[in-house]
Amino acid sequence: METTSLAPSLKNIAPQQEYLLQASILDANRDVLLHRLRGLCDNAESNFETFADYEAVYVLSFLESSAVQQSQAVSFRVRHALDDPEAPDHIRYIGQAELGDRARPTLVRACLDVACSSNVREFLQEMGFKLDYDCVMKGYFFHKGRMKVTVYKIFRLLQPGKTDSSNWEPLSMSHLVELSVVAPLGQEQIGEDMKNFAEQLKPLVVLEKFDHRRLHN
Amino acid sequence: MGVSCVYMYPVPEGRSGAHVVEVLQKQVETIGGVKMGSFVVDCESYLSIMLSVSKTLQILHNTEYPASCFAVLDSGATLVADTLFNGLLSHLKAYYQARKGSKIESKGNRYQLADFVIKIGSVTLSGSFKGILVEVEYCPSVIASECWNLMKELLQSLIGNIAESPPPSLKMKMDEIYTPAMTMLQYLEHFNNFRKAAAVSQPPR
Amino acid sequence: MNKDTTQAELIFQSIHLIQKLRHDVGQVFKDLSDGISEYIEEPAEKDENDGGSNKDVSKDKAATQDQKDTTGPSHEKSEEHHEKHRAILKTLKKSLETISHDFSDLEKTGANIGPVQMFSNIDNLSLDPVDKNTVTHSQLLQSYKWTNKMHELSDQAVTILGQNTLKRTQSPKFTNVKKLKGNTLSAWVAPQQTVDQCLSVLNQDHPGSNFTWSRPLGGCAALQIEIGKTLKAVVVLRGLTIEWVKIKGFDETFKTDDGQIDIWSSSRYQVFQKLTHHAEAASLHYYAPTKPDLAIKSFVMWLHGFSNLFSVPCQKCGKYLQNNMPPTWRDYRNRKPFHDVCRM
Repeated sequence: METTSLAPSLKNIAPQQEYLLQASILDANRDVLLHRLRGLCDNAESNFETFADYEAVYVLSFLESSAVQQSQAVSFRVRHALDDPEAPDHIRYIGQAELGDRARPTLVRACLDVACSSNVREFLQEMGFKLDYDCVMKGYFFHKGRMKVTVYKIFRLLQPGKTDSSNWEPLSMSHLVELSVVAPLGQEQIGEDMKNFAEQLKPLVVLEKFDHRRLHN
Repeated sequence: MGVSCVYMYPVPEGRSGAHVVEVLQKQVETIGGVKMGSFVVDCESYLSIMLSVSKTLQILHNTEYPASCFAVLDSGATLVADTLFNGLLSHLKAYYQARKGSKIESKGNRYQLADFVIKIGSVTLSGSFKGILVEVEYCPSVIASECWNLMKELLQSLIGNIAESPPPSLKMKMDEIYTPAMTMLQYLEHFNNFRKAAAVSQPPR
Repeated sequence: MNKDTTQAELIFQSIHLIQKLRHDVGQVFKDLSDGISEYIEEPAEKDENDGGSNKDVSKDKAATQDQKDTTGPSHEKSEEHHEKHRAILKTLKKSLETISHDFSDLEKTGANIGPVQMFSNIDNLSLDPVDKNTVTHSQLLQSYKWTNKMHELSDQAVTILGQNTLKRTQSPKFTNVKKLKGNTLSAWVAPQQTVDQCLSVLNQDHPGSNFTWSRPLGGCAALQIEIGKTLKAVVVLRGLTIEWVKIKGFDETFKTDDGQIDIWSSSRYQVFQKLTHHAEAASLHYYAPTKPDLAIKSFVMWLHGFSNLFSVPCQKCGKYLQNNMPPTWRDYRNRKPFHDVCRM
């Protein structure tokens, strides 16, 4: 092992970006969409891939809540698979949506996924992070090439931290549909591919880019 | 992966560190150790700013686990993560900042002797030599209390009475299943000692 | 193809021409010798020459002889000489003409033959026909000796093995069929329930060890034993007979990437590679075809003796390490720990 090989791998972390389109579908129509996706995506012959994740969002912010400093608050989403105890926990950092050009077909934002050990929640709290909210996401997962499609339902936890299914409460009557690709910086043609794929799902769902900052206001 | 013990090996007055390292290396080769590459363990401190309580975050890397990054807080809580964790830290710049001149590393040769791995590292703090750390790992066992006597026998043939008792940070965890994080805690403890010694000899202006 | 056949024809033709040429040349030499001898011997043995005219000579010559006979002896000697000389020269000239004719024919055909294509090294073999230069012969001889020796030794082995009554192999070649019939309780045909029961009892008898077993291929059970937090072992059972043993470290796995059980791969640690050898030997030591449950019980008990593999010193030398290895041997009777080299 070359000792010098460690240093550069630490310094040069290729920035990754997430390209995202979102939509929602009523629970009643979910199965139609699932079958459509199964036909469109890879591994059509196998059964639906399901997932159930517990997500807790932790925020680090200054005690004084002035507006300027509030915008600097950093939030980490910590995920943990409920259906696969072997899988490691992971932290996902998601940046603000890039303003860029309005003609861009998708939302583009910085994204960083880091797998970590299971004591991550306590560790973040010790670092000064505060639990913002938590939820459970349960649904289906498809992939086509490097495009990832998830159809899932969000559940609120009646008592925070308790993840057994009796503690879940559905947040709405619909499923969230997300089409995303995580790729290194500057691969703009992906957006076009995603847009073409989204066209195929019309009129079942209309995948669009949402600016989350506007939702807040 | 196995149980590791890290010890500080003193450099006698009037001897150069490089010379002592050379003597140790000769000794390992005499008992049958075969050189298998080299190793680096490095550590950098991050200080919290503008939080109510001041906190230190130590980030360690080890070439033995090249894809991992170890983050340690003051309490000893250790998070093991991908090396990408460094990327997360860059987003925390407003809250945690790297302390200048805190980069310390132990670097040297790695030897294999049957199921043992022996590492002799010279410690440098921001470029200047501070001392020697000797790590002996017994790979087949995962419980420190089980193989301590066996390791002691090898350690004593190598570094003598310094290895009279298990390393202090390991003492509480002798019956637990050993994890790489325990090795990193031992290194961190030694690194902190070196830093303290350096601070005493050169009081900050 | 066509080219080849014409080529062959040409070669055949040239061989024929060469034969003809040789014959002609031979004839010339014969004529030459005959003519001269006749000339030299003539005065002394003239009569004899007359009688012995069965010599194969050309007609011209015969004619001269006839002439000679009619002319009579010691008469016109010089003229005869001249005549003879002329005849001989004439024949020679004729023969030489045929030769040169044939030769030019041969040359013509020879020019048409293309170079023969080299197909392999075999063609070169003919270039070096010296046997001494190739080692094939001595090698053949050597292997012949070896095969003979092997045959002899295997014959002896069969006789010796035939006297042994304890056999793990069911081949009728080695086992007396009659004996096999008498010994129907064979350990390897134990029903699954018996095996399961036996293993559950073992599991209860050894607290601190974890026994799990599966039957990936139906009949044979693959038993996995975890002893403390020290080691893992996989034992393949045919009925209740131990067929295969492998030992690995606690942090290693007997699973392949796709979740199948992996009984083949060895541990990456020298200690457990050594233990695997010892365990194989032990599985033979504890082999008891008449009491299979006892055999496996004793084996597991012996294996359990390794729970303190790293924490006890050798009984003989009192040290933990010998050649950088812990005491990897446990006595078959009292399970006392010894180093591999200390057990004598």
